[in-house]
Amino acid sequence: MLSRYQERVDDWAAFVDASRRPLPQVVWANPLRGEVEETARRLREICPEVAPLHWMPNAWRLPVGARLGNAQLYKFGRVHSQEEAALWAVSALDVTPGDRVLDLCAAPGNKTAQIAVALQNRGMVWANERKAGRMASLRFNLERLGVLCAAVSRGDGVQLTSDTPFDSVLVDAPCTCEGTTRKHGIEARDPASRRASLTQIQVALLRNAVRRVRPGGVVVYATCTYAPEENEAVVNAVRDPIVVEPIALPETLQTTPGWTEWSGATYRDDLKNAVRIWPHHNDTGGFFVARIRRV
Amino acid sequence: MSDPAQWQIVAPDALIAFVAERYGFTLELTGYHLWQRGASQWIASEGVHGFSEQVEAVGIRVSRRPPPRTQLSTAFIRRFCHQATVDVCHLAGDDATAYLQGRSLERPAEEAGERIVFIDGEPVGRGRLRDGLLHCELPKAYRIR
Repeated sequence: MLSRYQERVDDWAAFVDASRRPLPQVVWANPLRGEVEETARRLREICPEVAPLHWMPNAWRLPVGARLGNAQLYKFGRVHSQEEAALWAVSALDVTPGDRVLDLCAAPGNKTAQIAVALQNRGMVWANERKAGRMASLRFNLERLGVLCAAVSRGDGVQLTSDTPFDSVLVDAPCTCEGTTRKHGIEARDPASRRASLTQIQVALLRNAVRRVRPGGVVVYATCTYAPEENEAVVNAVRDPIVVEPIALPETLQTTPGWTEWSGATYRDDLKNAVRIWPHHNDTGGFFVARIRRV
Repeated sequence: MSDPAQWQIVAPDALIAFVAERYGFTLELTGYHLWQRGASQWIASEGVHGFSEQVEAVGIRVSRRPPPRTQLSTAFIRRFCHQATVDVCHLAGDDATAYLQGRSLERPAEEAGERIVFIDGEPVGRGRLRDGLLHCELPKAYRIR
């Protein structure tokens, strides 16, 4: 399934090995629910083996197999669990308190909550989700985490409109999830059969996101897949005037640039500013992020 | 786009009066708006506005019914009711764990009625005293196993 990327990956054996290993769970301290220092103290009490992330403050890796879902710390919203590779997509949005932010594909609310933290619960994050079956988890997570600045809607993100433009928009697009093999198994899925229909949706979502953001505003397009058809090609398909900007990355986070060509197709040159995360580089899942500014 | 008719910002006076009478403290809602849609009331940051009819939740639900038939939600209690002093119940140790697991606790000497339950100084949710038992009213998703 993933062998189509072999020539592009620097260390294929390491990539395959990492893709098969269990994924460590990561939790971050939620300042909306209490002082992070106190949360850190309580976390170390119940799980002394937690290891701080080297590239993000107030976030920790749990030992493999450890789970906090039943802990009071989790139920009270003082910590939240999230995939490590996905954690920093929100920081690419440059959210400041008071902003209006749109999270176009929000469930289960992990990144929505991160946005609310960046907003310090001031301003608004509009959290939209298409699937009715995912609304309950989205609303529960936001409630549990003490998010007071969210408006939650159910609807097709392709159709979402707003009279007031947004300062930034996050598109955490539905995808073939190739980067989640550490959770779902390396042979579990056949992405090719779903790719064509997903690509259409991804392009439509990103185009709408660019139209919803104010001129000069930022759209972050993110997926957890490796397929350039779902990543660089989607960004390349945006017709509106945009620039793909470099992303300020933590020094200790290893990434590779976005691709500007694949399988005979060439993409816009600034897609080299997009970022790919590979599981063997940072012991995470796989991820793709592009930071797009509407000109 | 103006805020739709089904979502309305309402004055919080009735809610503030209800909380003061029932739980003995003054709600501090500076920086928030109280929204109502149908019978449900919601509390959200002032910056939340200009959304479409598709929106089904804003901020935190306060209650499914306005005062005087208000039952404060777990999320609202956890965020806004730290100062409650009347109709409260403080739990610790095994009792606290039992409550968080959704189990009922014997309280033969206490008067029937609704309580805000505190654990370690933090408001955690509602309980209902009836026939000498404190019944946990935490939604299942908030309970521990």
